[in-house]
Amino acid sequence: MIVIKPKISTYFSLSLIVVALLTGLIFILRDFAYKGSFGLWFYLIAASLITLVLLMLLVKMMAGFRFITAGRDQIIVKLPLRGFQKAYPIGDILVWEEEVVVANKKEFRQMTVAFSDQQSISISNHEHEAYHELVKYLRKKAGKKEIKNKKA
Amino acid sequence: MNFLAHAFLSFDQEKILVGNFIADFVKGRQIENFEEETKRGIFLHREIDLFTDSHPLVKAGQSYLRPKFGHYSTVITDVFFDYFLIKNWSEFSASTVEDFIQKTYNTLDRHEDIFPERFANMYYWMKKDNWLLHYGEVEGIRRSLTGMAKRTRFDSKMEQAHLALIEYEDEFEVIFFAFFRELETFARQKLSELASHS
Repeated sequence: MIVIKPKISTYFSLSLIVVALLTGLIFILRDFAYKGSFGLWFYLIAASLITLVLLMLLVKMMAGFRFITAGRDQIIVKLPLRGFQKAYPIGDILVWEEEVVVANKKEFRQMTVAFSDQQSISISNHEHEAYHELVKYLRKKAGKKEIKNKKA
Repeated sequence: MNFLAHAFLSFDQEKILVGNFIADFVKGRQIENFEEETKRGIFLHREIDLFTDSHPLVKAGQSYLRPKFGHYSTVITDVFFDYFLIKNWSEFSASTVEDFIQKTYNTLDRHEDIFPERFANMYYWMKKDNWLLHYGEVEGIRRSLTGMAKRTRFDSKMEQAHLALIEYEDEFEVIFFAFFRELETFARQKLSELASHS
């Protein structure tokens, strides 16, 4: 069985950034409430900006928080944050594709699998463990359903 | 929000649904031409849109779109939310989405005589091409946004926005789930407030 799960190292780094931003936000709000060292515009812009980045990071982390098990001709998708779990037989895969993006001499790979019930999952090599094993598995079991068109 | 979400957030109240649908086409004092319950639907529509446009999570979602689509990002996220509402319909309603949409059209048909002219013209195409149901497919989203792009004064690039849905589907789905429950509670509360004030 192939188990795809979020990479602990990625989530650890992202969590550190979240904590740093949260600390910054608390500092700014405390400073505004008790000291007022800066002008009002600074607080408004800085607090909004940090909140936005924080939310985007949390959304990113939550979106990637998924567990996928592949084997015995089925794919089990588990989204713990939504309490969703479903087993899809290989025949339920409509299409799948792997997108490869090279940036800063690093290769980022993302795979999307679309199922017949309109659900789809996306996983990437830098956020999830056992990514390459799943690609190999799908090429073997559902090779005809791969869309080969993207290379950037 | 877009049409399907507004229909859902009318909570099966006939005239509220009508007001909620026609709201964007009712300007200024024209509102006085409608009866009390329909007016409440119009006010509810405006409150829902205000709540959505100022919500931090929606703004976070729009950050993905803003570099390319500018202020049209608000329109795009509204359409995306209809996509996720259909995709996850069973989590919000016991009936099927097809039945709900048919019921919505039937309800609206009974009130055609009070439709503002511009809405009536659009409703004809909405029903004929079943826009509401097609919001549940990426192709339907593409068609809808392409249609909107043709009507904008500037180059909105909205005809390409479905690609952003494909690229950030997981992120937008997280945002949708976190936001839509809150919106549902807000709309329910606002509707009872509007009822108690009238």
